Amino acid sequence: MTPERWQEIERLYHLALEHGAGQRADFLARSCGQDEDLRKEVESLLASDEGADAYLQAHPADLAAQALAWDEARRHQPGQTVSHLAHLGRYQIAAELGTGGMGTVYRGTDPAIGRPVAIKVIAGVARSQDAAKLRERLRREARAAGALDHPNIVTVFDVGEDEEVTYIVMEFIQGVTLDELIQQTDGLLPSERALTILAEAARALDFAHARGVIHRDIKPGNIMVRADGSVKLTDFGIASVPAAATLTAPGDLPGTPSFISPEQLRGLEATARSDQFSLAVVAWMLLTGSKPFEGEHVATLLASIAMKEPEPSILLSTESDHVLRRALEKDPALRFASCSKFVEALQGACRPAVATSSPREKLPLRWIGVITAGVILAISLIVFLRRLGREAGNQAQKTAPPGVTIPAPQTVKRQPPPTTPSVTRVEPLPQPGKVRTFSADGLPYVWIPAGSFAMGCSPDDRECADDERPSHNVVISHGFWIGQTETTVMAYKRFARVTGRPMPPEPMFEGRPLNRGWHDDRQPIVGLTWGEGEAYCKWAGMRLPSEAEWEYAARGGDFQPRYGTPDAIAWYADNSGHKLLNSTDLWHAGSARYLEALKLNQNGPHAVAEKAANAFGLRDTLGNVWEWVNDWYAKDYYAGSPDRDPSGPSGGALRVLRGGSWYNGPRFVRVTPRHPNTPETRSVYNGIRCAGDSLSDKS
Amino acid sequence: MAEPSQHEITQLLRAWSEGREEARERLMPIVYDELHRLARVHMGRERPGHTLQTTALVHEAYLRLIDASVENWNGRVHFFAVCAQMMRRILVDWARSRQSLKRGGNLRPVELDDALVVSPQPEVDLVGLDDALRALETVDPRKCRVVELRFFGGLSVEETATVLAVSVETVMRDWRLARSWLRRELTSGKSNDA
Repeated sequence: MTPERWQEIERLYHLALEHGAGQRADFLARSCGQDEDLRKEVESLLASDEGADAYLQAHPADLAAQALAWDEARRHQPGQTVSHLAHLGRYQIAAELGTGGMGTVYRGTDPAIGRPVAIKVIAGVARSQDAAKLRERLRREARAAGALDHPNIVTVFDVGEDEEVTYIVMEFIQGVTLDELIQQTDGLLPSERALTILAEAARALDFAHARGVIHRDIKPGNIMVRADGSVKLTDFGIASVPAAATLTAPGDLPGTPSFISPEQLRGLEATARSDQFSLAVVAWMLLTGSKPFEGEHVATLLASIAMKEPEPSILLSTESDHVLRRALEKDPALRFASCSKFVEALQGACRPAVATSSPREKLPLRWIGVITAGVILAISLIVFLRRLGREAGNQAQKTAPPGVTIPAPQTVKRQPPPTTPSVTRVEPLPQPGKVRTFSADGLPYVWIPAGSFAMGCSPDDRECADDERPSHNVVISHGFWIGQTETTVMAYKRFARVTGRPMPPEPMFEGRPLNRGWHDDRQPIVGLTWGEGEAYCKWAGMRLPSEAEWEYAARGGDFQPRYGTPDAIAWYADNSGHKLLNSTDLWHAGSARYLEALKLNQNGPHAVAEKAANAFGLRDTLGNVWEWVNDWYAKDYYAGSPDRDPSGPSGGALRVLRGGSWYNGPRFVRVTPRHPNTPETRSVYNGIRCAGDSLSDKS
Repeated sequence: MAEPSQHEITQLLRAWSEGREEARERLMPIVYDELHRLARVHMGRERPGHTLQTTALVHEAYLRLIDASVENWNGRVHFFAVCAQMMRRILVDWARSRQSLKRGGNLRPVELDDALVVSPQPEVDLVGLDDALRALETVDPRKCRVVELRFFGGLSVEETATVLAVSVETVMRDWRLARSWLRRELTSGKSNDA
């Protein structure tokens, strides 16, 4: 076959695939004309394409392992294996317990004292080219672990050699590995149980670290859990005291890829914080049921450990997510000071989320052993009463979330005026919505409860335009999620990478680049058409908010034009540049003057979430960039708007943008201005913020 | 021959990622030896048939051979591409020798339990695949590379696109057609035998 012929086959094959199955025969008959061979060739390829999805899809990793092993076995006669031995040194071998780390583990007995022991054997050490090195590593393991006397660390008794077999004799633990426990519970280990296990593992690690011993290979297979729930760390198998660290050649780095720390990947010396990283991977697994870093094969897994952030999990509260992410920092210096500090923070973050059982059971387990029954009773009572109080408070919040009821005019007057600069309102948020990260874009979303509000021109607002009137009551009948921030450059880059779509043209304002090379990932994405914004939200599993939803969320239960002073809550023309400007005066001086001034002053969008949040915890609803909403624009829509879940006119030429931008003056730092644009418009002021529905609240 | 230094290997890898094919030719034997050396070490450690082993081997080989502190993601992807070619060679050699064993060849049976040689996916005729790939290579070398990287190397579409310096769409189109073509070649081959 000539390359030209092949190219023709290829061309027709792909064109035919674009046709429906029913039209392909016609298409090929038309395209191939008299060339019967060509038609048959393409048709047989198309037939072969049917059902070929699984073909060659799986990497033959297991086959490759076989092949490599076979290749080696050809040259090396396998020797006697340990399983055929009844004795090792003075120890009797009873049964094989499992294979892991660097060798196989057997159950045995020390006949001298009748003590049951576990014996870890490295078979084939003698045949290995690196026999001396492996043996030395094994002895080092014994010495390192033998120096550790701690209730949560497996005791090492002895190390020996027998007929070219090197072995370590350890305390025999009746229990299961955490791996097995996870399997037994289908990955649904209760959070409290998981946290107790993590806490004991952390204590053992801190103890070892204080003595200069790093575990280096923390993973569920090395964490034993006994029937009474206590934890034993085993297999300080590749641990080394720093003095002997020179024995580890660069890159000669055993360890389990899923749990290995990024610094170990880079071939750097493992530290206490490397163990913390691995423990955090275990923690993530226990709390979410999946690993934080995954890859379809080892290259992607390693790349992900080395440079990616874990995908957010809906099963983690924001607080737990923060704690875990800190322990999973790529830079060890940014992690917690110790493993226990990490687990304590995690316990603190998880407590509200796991508090579902009776008050008595919610007592931290570590207290129980140290206090007498009377004290337990007293404390239980206090905790119980406190919790009652808290629950009562929660209940109160639930029944009266902001903006749920339509206030009569006199009620509005009684509302505390939101005039305090909102900086003071950021932490803690007065009425925070639930924040979760669950969508494909990895951005945090806030839950906005169903309710009703007065939409359009706020009472006493003198700056309203005609299209903001009349003010009318609107019911939002379903709660919804909305982005806590505007969609960022980083999130859009991910979208572009995954979908293969291009980034929008780089934003230029009056010939000046605003974010050259999309350099600043934290800024809101700008320059999107309405369609691109919609496509993005769809990809994220979300949608664009309706105009009513947007205003309801932006108000945060408030009835004022804005929820704080413009400078405290928004990036707008006065404060978004190098120096403060009086944009209102500039505007009156003429648009040419205005543009020139903003250009010279280097005004532009800023990183999201730098300004104060509204009462729902949303950032930058006002200022920074205009946000596309789903609705078509009609100037007089409010006059005839339905009062339940209005979704805008059924059609039109313009779509609505809301919230003002870095380019606009203070008049646009208000919750009600409506900005129409043709959907194809790309502008350095226009961005998006997605919303989404949910049957549950995704908590 | 003196063992090449990490630095040299890293340089070779970079040269290849910049398009100098002769660098790959020099890398191949080094990677091949290293994979075998590591396989030897691991043989003593773990039971045969351990699935994670190969990927762990490649990972370990990378860490040993490459000065990871100066190498970037691109280099890593290219390294795995070399491994993909090695894997193809090792796998196909192995499959061929198994065939000859079955046909009563005089290769001494090895003491690996054949019962352990179980593949979770339907067995692929590796020898047939290799032959078909050779045929494909004469008319369309790039599609042959795509299959090598995706199937033998386990690279994702994106990684494959990086190695071949083409778009993701091109890889997906190549992959689809190559798969159809190979599947047809292999099944028609079988029916001819029957």
